[in-house]
Amino acid sequence: MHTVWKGAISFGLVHVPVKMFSATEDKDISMRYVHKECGSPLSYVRKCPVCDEEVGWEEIAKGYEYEKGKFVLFEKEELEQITEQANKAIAILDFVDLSEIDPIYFQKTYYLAPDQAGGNAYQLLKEAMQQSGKIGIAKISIRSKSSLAAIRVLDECLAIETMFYPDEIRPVSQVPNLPENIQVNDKELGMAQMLIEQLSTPFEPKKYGDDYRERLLDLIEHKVAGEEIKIAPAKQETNVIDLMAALQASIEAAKPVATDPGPAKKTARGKAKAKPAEPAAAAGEGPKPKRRKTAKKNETVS
Amino acid sequence: MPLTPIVPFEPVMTDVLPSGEQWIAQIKWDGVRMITYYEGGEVQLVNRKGNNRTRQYPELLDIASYCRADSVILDGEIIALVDGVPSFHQVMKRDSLRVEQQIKARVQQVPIVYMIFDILYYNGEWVTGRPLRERQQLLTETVIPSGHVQLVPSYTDIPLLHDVSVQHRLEGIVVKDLNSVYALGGKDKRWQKRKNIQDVNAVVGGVTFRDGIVNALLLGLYTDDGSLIYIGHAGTGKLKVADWRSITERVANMAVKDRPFVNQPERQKGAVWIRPEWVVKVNFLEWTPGDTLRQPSIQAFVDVSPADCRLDL
Repeated sequence: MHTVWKGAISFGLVHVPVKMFSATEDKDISMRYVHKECGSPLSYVRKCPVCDEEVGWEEIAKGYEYEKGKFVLFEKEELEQITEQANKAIAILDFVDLSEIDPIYFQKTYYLAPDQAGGNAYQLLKEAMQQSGKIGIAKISIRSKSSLAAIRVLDECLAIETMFYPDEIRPVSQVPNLPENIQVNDKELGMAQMLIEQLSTPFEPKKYGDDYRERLLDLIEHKVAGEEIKIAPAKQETNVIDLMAALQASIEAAKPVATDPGPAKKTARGKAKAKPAEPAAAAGEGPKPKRRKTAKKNETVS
Repeated sequence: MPLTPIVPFEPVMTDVLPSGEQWIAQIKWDGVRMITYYEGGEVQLVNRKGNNRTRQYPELLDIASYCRADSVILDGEIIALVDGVPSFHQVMKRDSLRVEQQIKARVQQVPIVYMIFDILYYNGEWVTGRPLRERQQLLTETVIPSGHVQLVPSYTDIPLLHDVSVQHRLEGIVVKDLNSVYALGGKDKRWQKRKNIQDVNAVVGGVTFRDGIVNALLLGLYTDDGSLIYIGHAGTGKLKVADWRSITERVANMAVKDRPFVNQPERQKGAVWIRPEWVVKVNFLEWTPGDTLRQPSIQAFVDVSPADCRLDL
């Protein structure tokens, strides 16, 4: 784990130097855009459509479009000025009960570890929070973005959840088509409750896996190993063995005729016509209907 | 003993099929001629022109699965079926690939079969000096037929096999002398082919357009003195709309001012002459009295040197 932030928790007179680590990781499998023809990954070019030229980073500023086509530009320093003064601090404002916070507020979780000689203060804060059962609400700035956050004890560690500000959360009233004044049938309600009862179980996160990711990883492994993946069931081409068997059948069907002198053909039949119409002994025994299943049958992944 | 690529034996064309005890007939499987070399280690597949095609046919690399020999050279034809019959165009979809990923992707899409008909080298010894009869015996003892590998059966009733080959819409038959030895690089009457469909590799010397897209190729063959003789134009066959579009694009860089053909093509109006660099395999019914192709049908672009496309009839 690498440190994503370094600073201190402050509340009252207590000052706890901490390092912050991401508690979760995004395991989405990322793919790149590749030129089909030559297999090279694409490079992206920042281009000015007006000057029709590529633009280097040193020529780029951030701009806010306050009116269509009109921008106010900001230099990096200007933006840094307004990031909160207490940049390096997690200032605990209040202590609340965890159950009071709806999960909708939680954004991303980080672990906090004591930094330098912060071990004692860290332990003190953790113990106090554990015993009170409270969690701290704080303000924190990470990379120029200021967030609300909740500090809580997770196993033997302090964790901090960044939170949305209330005005970042859309009210339920904006959701269309929510039922109003509809009476539910008591019987049906009873049934539904019974069903919930039956499906009720302790939460075991290990039970749940990302099936899509597993299938995708599997597919990738096959590709990397050079095995072919059947996207759609392959069209069943008539087998050469079928053709050879059909040829053989035609030969055999013609066998009685073969002994018939018949009208002379353009080709010199000579002695050949009287001969049995079987494959010559020396030359393989014709088609072998037995098909060896040596060809790798790859799992159909779709 | 380093196995350097050999030039395989070629049959001569015939209209009159031979007869006699020593002659057998085999179906002429329409695909690409392929020689397999193995002396322990890795298998090598090399075509008639000496070009290596090992990468193109990964299903043939595990030679132990289809051949019981410590070292061997096998001669045969790699085919791919369309609607139950071999299609040269189809096998070229495999043979023409160079990008590893595409080759892998097409293994399933375009299945191939190696139709083996001869053995030239076996367990450290050349067997080309043995009569065909014995080589065939050796083949049946050595090759294990499978989904991707088959032995070409031989038949004693030559006219019957010819009839059957016509009936099944196959390319033709090859008649071989059981007493004959295998002559490396040879081409003579010990193997004779009779084709139901004629074909020729022709040089493209010009194109015509319809609505801005190429709609026909003007074809030619070289004479011994190096001049290109126009032999007809072909606009039908296996090429799809996308192929014609791509031809149209590529033609733009190949246009030349002067007509590459020494004689005057009957279809000259609106023709654009191009550098004679492309070779196409064309099926046709027969030669017209005016020495052009009747009903030519384009089968595929082929990797053949234009200089090798000669008028030798």
